[in-house]
Amino acid sequence: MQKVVPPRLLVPYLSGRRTIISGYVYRVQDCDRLTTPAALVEALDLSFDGSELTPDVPELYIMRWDARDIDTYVVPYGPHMGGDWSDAPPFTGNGFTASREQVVPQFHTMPMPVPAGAEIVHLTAAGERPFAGYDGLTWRPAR
Amino acid sequence: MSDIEPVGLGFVARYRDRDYAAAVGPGGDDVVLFSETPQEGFTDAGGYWRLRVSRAALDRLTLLRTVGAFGGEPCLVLDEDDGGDGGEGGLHIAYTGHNGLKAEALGYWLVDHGAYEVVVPREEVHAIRVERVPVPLTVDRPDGHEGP
Repeated sequence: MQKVVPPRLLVPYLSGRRTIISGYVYRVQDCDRLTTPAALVEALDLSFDGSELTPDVPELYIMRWDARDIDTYVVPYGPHMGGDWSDAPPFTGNGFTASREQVVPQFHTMPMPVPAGAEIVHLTAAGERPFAGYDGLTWRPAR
Repeated sequence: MSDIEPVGLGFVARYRDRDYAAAVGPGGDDVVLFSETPQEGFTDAGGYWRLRVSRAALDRLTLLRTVGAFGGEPCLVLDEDDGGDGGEGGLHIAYTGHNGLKAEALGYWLVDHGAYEVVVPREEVHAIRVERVPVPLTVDRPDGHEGP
């Protein structure tokens, strides 16, 4: 699974003050075509009102982790899909992001502890590189 | 209002008659145990000690979480906020309902995409209770076979 780390949460994560993952999350395999910051911001609806991210952001930090049996991801379906989820635009409630360019299935998790083995990668237009790894308590620079 | 002491969100593992703070992973079957003091088999991680074991080796694995209600809507207590320099402090809570617009109307902040959180005075969080959710020690596998 993966989630783009909002810039203002990067330091709280790395310093150990923020220890949870919460909100909309995506499967890594559904994002493998999204290889630039611009593509991710567009495809994952990340320039929502109040976001610090715009399509011309030069870099992104992305957290990735393995899903496991005890995790509780749900598809946030709206009433028109038989669910009870609603959110501010660009939320669709149809199980996918609002992107017109890409079809990306959307999931949601209530706050869950960041699992051991999670990693943060740094993505620029030039590509991505490992940035940090989590042992379940502390983030360390990627080797 | 409540006298119940909230706890943060996290795992506690019972192993060789001791309880440890724990994290699941890195493998699907793994749990990492943490200790502030050296323990047999644990490795020094710089300020703390850790040991990776399979879930099946544990006596018990529990997810601790504190839930409550704020503004008539469900919430999860993430931690106690001391308020920093001279601040009032309170409880750092996350909205656990399904309506982001309602969360915003209650005063929550959108801290991450799809994640609404706020720090509020403790007395404004009602019906606080600590839940201890047992985690199965055998891993559910997609093929229907029980692990490990």
